[in-house]
Amino acid sequence: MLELQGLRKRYGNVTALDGVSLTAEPGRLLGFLGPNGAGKSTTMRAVFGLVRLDAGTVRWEGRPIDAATRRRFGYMPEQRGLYPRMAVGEQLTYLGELHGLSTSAARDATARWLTDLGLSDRADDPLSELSHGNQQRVQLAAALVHGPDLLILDEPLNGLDPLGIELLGEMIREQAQAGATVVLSSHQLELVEGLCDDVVIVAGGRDRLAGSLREIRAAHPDREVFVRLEGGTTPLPPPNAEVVTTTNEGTRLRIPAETDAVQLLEGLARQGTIERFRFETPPLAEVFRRTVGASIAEMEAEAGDDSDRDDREVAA
Amino acid sequence: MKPTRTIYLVMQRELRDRLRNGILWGATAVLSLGVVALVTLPTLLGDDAPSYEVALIDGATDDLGAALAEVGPLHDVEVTTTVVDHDGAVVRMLSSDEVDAALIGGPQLVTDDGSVSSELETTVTQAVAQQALLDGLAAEGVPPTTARGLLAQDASVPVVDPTGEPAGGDTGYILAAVLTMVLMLAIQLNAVMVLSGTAEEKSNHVVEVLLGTLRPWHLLTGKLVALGVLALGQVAIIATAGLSANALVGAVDLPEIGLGALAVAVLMLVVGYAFYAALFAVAGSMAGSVEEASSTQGPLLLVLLASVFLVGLVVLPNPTGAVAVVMSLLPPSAPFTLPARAALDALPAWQLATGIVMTVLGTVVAVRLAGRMYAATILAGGSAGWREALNAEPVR
Repeated sequence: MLELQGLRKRYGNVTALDGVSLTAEPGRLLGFLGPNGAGKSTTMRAVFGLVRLDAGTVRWEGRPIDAATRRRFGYMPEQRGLYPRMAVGEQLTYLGELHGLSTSAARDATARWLTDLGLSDRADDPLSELSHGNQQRVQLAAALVHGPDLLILDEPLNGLDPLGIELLGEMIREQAQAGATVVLSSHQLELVEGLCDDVVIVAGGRDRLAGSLREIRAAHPDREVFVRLEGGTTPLPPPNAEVVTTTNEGTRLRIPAETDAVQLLEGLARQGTIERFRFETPPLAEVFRRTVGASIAEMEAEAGDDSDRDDREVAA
Repeated sequence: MKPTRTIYLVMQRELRDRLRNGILWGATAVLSLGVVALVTLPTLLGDDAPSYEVALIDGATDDLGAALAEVGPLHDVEVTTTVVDHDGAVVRMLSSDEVDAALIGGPQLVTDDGSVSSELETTVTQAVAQQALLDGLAAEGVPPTTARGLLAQDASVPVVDPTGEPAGGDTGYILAAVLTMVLMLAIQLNAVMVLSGTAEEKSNHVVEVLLGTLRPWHLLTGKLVALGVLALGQVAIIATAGLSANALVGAVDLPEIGLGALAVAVLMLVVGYAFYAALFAVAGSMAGSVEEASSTQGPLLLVLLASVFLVGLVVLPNPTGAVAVVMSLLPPSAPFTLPARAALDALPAWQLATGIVMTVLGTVVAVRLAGRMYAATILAGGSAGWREALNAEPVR
């Protein structure tokens, strides 16, 4: 189990971490979610001792992390990095050896991963000759080649096409199912919604909400209802409900969690024949918006405006 | 896993990467060819001693031809003579370039345009004087064979230092210059490779992956050892090429001081490389990109090149002067100064020992400081200055 407690870090006047805490358990996939600049990467780098923390503790299985323990971790940093001129197979073998595998074990693991990734015929090619998607797969294999107990993946699905997202997502999921502790960061909540068992929402350098995805959604004060009336008529929302979206497919309503479903159904049925009716737990994006008070896109836009304003002030 | 295993793995990767690099082989080939040329060309070209054809008036200078042939080689010229019977023939031969000069009664040396090379003038003057001496001795009853025997005795004067040891002379000077050049290139080329490798690892972010499991000093040490091995191998190839070329053409007899200087050079190569390469690694870790590394290395390159220039301009002409002594004791300049002075046989034992101790100690301090600065800057985003790097806290 990975336990981070009260991590704090400042860079000059900028507070990167303001008391972040989280717990990640073996066999489960933890989504560490928040906008860019929320402190996700700094937190993940802290696990590997790549940041000098101002305060806080990082523990693995109840103990501070030493060099031997760290070798049992796998890391995929946000800014991808491998040797561009080095052959793919040689590179994975090297990283496996650095994590404590014997040369033969590292070679075997490399061959296995390259086969699983469909890249066995590219083992001797320099990394730079691979497509972006394949380079991303190799980067993930670099984090996995030694069979880590803890896998830290910083925005692993960034820049991938839907097929790549599906493949890498499946590989990451398999690691958790095999018993590894997996922490995955993302600012694209919709991409990781189907992957995570547990979630920590982080914003402004602080963790705002933590728990299993199921619990978090269940605890949310709202539910969403998807309804389609015959003829595509838009239903009038009952009291306490609001329309989220209306499309040709139907209408999405937001209602309080305590709303009686039968009463709601009866009310809608009075407006026309119901073709579809579905109760939905709120998406992660909605959980985030409710928790932090703004969507990720809004927070990133605001941060961008601030940054632009700062730039203009500096220029002035 | 032991740190030695980690360092070995890093070293092995660096070696593989560099050995596949054409620049390394190209630079080694160019350096080897340069040294071979330096060793062989003077000898090969030196065989073509200038030769002169000199006309002598028949009867007036009976034995002068023999004297010219004897004296010529002393001045690195070859003089052959043609006997003519009258002055008119001399004028004709000079104008048709059949001879370069003519020695007529008086004696006077006549050339077509009135000018003559200094070595021919010296040769003729000495030959005339020698012949006059022989003629005088013969008049005093000394048999010509006895007189010639006396003149043929080796009258060269050996040059020694105040302790009576023979001086290195030209061989020592050439050796000193070659050693300085080879050391500069081997140290600079490999230190710059450390710089570019470090900057590359930082700019392409692979260092984040590596330092997720390694400690910064593992990475730095593996890199320094690998490039150090390459520097030694490079110099071994260059030295083998130079010594083989020398053995083939017999350019110079390497004196004992030459072998001693080579030993000092090998030691200084190791120490000097470690000193500069560790600091160049810091310059690489300070750079935000490979391009930026060319500016962060500026101060180091300046010190290295200034040291080498001072060796060429001050130490070689005056290897026992105060500047040479001071430069022998300073870690940045000692790697170039000590071998040069040893080649010139102008390095007292106490200065050699003190210089080595000071340089080794300076290198230990530099490498430790570099390790700390490297660990502080390699994971920092963007670029940093030397002052910033010095004050930064290492990550771990």
